[in-house]
Amino acid sequence: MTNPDPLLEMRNLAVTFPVDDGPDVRAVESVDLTLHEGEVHGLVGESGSGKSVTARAILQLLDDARVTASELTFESVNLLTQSEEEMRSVRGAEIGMIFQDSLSALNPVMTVGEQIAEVVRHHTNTGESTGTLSELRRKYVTGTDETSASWERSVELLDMVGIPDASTRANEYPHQLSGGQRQRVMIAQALAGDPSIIIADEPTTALDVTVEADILAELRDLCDDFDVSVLLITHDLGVVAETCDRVTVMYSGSVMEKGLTDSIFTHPSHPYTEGLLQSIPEYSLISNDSELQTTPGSAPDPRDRPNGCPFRDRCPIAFDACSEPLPTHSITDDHIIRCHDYARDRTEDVSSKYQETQEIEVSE
Amino acid sequence: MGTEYDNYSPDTENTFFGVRLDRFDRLRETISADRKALFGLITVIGFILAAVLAPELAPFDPMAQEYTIMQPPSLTSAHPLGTDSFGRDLLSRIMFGARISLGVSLGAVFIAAVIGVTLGLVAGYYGGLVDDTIMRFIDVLWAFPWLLVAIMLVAIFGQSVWNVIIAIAFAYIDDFARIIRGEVLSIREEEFVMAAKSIGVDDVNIMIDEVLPNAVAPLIVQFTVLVARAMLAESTLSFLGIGVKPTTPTWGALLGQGRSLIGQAWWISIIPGIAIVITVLGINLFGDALRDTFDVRQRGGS
Amino acid sequence: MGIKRYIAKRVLQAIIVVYIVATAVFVAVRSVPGDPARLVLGGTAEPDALAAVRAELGLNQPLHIQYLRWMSDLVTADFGTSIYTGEAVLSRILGAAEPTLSIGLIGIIIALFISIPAGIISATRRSQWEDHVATGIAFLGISMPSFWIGIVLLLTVGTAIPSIPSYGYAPINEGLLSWLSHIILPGLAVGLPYAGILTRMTRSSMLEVLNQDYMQTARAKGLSPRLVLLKHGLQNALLPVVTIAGILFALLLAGIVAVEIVFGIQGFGRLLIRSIERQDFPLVQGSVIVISIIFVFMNLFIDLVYMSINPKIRYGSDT
Repeated sequence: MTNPDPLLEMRNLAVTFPVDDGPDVRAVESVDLTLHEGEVHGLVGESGSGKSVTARAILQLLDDARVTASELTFESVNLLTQSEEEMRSVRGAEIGMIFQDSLSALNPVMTVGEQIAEVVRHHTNTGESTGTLSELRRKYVTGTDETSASWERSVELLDMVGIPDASTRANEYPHQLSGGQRQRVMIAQALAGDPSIIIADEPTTALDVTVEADILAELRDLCDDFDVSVLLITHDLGVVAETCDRVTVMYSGSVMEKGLTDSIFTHPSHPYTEGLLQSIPEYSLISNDSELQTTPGSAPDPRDRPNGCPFRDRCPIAFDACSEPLPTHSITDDHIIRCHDYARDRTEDVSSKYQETQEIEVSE
Repeated sequence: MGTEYDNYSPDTENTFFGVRLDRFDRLRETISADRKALFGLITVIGFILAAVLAPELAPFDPMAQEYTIMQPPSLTSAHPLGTDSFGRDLLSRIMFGARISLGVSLGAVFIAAVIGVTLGLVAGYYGGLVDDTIMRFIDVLWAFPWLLVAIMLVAIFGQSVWNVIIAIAFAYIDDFARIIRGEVLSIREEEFVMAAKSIGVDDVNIMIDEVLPNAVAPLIVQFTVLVARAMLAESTLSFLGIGVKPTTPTWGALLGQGRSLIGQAWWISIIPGIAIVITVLGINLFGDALRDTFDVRQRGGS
Repeated sequence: MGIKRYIAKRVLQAIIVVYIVATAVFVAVRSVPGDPARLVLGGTAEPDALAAVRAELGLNQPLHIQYLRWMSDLVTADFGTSIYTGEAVLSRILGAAEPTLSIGLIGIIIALFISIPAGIISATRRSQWEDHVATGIAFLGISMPSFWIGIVLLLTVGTAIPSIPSYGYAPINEGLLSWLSHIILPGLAVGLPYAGILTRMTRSSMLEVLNQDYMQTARAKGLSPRLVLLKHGLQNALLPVVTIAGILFALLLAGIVAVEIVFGIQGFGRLLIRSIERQDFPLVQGSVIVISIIFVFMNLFIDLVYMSINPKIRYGSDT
C-alpha cells in the first residue's frame, strides 16, 4: 500500500496538565502523527511516554488538560474547532475506542448486549428513539427489547467477534465473562458505530499471552473486513511486529522515530528504538548471541525533563547538542527520525513548518 | 479490608500516641483553609470549656427557682436567655447541661470504644471460630435499634445517667469492632508482624504495639462522629422522659420540659435545641476535618 | 449459593435473633428488682390482690414452665393483655401502627426525594457553590434532633399556615388530603436528618463513580453527559446508598417516637412511651418484640433489594 489517503492528520500536538503544587506538566510535546486508510498504526512507548494521552487528545477526552496543535484533522474535519456536542457525533460513530482493562472499562450493571446496542442505536440508523428519557425508561422501567434492531445487531456483532452462543451471552454482565471475552465485547462495542478509525489503548496488556494472540488476530481481521483503520497503542514491540503496518515510537512525551514497521525493525536508527528492540528476547538473542541488552535507567519524571531530547540522560551516544530542541529528519519518505546524532552533518530539517498552533477549546 | 487511611508508619518515633506528627500540621492546614473546620474547632472548644467551667462561669445556680418565672430572653436583662416556668435561669441551666451532655456522650462512646476495640482485636487476630462467634454477636447488636435497649434498661432499672450511657454505648460497639477488625485483618499478614512473632513476641503485645497505632486514625474520626450522635441520642431519650432523671438538666430534658409551654414560652425549648444543634454541628464539622486530615485520598477535595 | 438457599438462611437467622430478643425480654422482666406484681398494682396493694396478679402472670410457677408458656404464647401470637386497658397487646399495637408507619413512609420518601438529586448535583458540581450549599444543609440536617425540627416546624409553618395542622393524625381512609396535611410536618421532621446522611453518602458514592473507567468509556461512545450520568453512573452510585439507607432505619425509629410526642399523634411510638411510664409490662414486652421483628426483617428486605440491583451478586461469576 503506497501512501493511501491520510485519514487522520496530527501536527504539533502538545498536551499540558496543570498541577496543584508546581509548574504545569507537559505530557506530550510536538507530536506529529498520520493515520492512513486501511492501516494498523502502532503507537509505542514505555509507560509515561504520553501515548495514551495522545490518543485521548484526539477524541478530546482530556478535560483537565490544555491541548494545542497546529493541525488535528480527521477526514477533512478540523477537530480543533469542534464543539463538545459536535465531538459527540465523532466519538463512537467515526472514531471508536477500546480501553485496556475491560473489567473496569465496561459498566458492571449493564448487560454486555445493551452496552453494544446503545452504540448501534445512537450512531446508526435504526429508527429507535435515543433521547435521554427513552434511554432511561428502557434501562430502569421496561428493560431491553430483544426484538429491537439495535439488540439484533448487537448479538450479530458479538457473534462476529467470536463470542459463542451470542444471543444468550448478550444478556450477561461483564463479570460473568472471561478477560478475553470481555475484550472481544469491547471490540464489538467499538465497531458498533461503524467508525472509520478505532483507537485501541493497550487492548491486550491485561491478557494472557495465548489469548493476546487470538485477540490481536481477531482485531486485525475485523478491521480488514470492516474497512477500519487502527491506532494501536502498546508498549510491546512484539505486538507491533505482528500486527502493525506503521509504527510511531514515543519517549517521555516526544516522538523519537516513526515509519513503516519493516523499515523501523530492519533499520532502527534511533538509539532508543535500538534499545527497545534489543530488549525483545527473540530479537536480541538472535542478533547478539549472548546477553539480553537492556537500557539502563528509567524515564524522567515529566515535571523534571531535561531540555532538548528527553532521552539524553540514558542515551549511549548523547553529546552536547542534545540539549537543543529536537530536529526532524526523513531517512526515507516513510521513515522519520528525531535525533541530534543523526542530524549531525545533515541540513534538511523537516520539522513542522507550521508555527501557529490552535488551542482546543472545551465548549458545550 | 483495612480502611483507606494512610497513617501507618512502622517507625514509631515520629508519632504521638500513634498519630504521625506531620498529621498535626495537616490538621492545622485543613483548619486554616476551611472555615467550616474552624467553626467546628471553636465550637468544640467552647463546648468543652462551658462544660468544664460551668460551676465558675454560670451566673446563677441552675437549680435555684428564685427568679421571675418565664422571662423571655433579652440581652439587657440579668437572664440573657430567659427563665423557665420554675424561675430558673436558662443560661446557667444550659451551661450545666453541657457538663452532663458531655459526660454522657463521652462516657458512652468511650465504653463502646473499649469494648468494641477489644472484641474487634480478638476477632480479627485469632480468626476462625472466635472470629465467627464474635462477629455473629456483633451482627445481632447491629440489627438492634438502640432505642429498644434504652427502653428496656429504663423500664427495668429506672432512669439514671448510667443507664443512658450503657444504652447508647450498646449501639456503637459494632462500629468500633468492625473498624479494628478490618485493620487487624489487613495488618496481620504484614511482614513485621510475622517478624515480631518469630522472635517470640507475645500475642497481646503484638496487637497493642503493631496493630493499634495504625488503627488510631480511623478510630479517632469514628470517636468524634459518634460523640455527636451520642449527644443527639441522649437528647432524644431525655426529651422522651426515658433518659436521665427528670431533675437533671441535660439539654434534651430542658427541651422536654418546655414542650407544654411552647405557645407561651418558646425559648424554654428552642434555646436548648439551638445549643444542641450548634454543638453537634461543630463536632460533626470537626470530625469531618479530622477525616480529611487522615485520609490521603481526599486531599484537595471540597 | 442460590437465591433460595440464601433467603432461607437469612430468614432462619432472623428468627434466631427474634428468639434471642424474646428470651432477653423474658429475662429482663424477671430481673426487675422487687416484685413485679407490686409494680403492677402499686405499693399499697393487698396481699391477696398481689397473689392474684402473681398467679395471673404465672409468676408462681417454676421458671422453665414460665419460659415455655411465654414462648408458646408468642408463637401463637398471644402477646398477653395490657395491664392498663385489659385489651390484647397485639391488637393494641396494630391499632396504633398506622400513624407510625405513615410518618415513617413520608419521612423516607421525602428523604430520598431530597438526597438523591442533592447528592448527584453536589458531586457533579464539586467545590462549586451548589456543592457547598448542599453539603452545608446536609451537615445541618444531621446535627438537628428530629423532635427539635418538629418543634420548630410546629412553631413556624404550623402556626403560619392554618391548613397544616400541628396536632393529631387523620387516618388515610378519611381522606388523602387530610392525611397528608397531618403527617407532612412530622414526616419532614423525621426525614430531614435522614436526608442529610443520605445526601452525603450519595455525594461521595457518586464522586467515586465519576472516577471510574466505565464512565470514560461511555463518554468515548459519544453519549451525552446527562445520559452518561443517569444511565451509566446512577445505579452504580446508588448501591452503597441502599445499604446505608437500610442500616439507618434504626435512626428513624427514635425520631418517629419523639416526633409523635411533639405532634400529639397517637401512634405506636407514643404508645410505647406511655406504657413505659405506666409500667405496663405486657405492652412493653410486646412492643419490644414487635419492633425487633420489624427491624430484623427490614434488614433482610434491604439486603434482598440490594442483591436484586447489584448484578455482581445476583449472577455470580462464571469464570
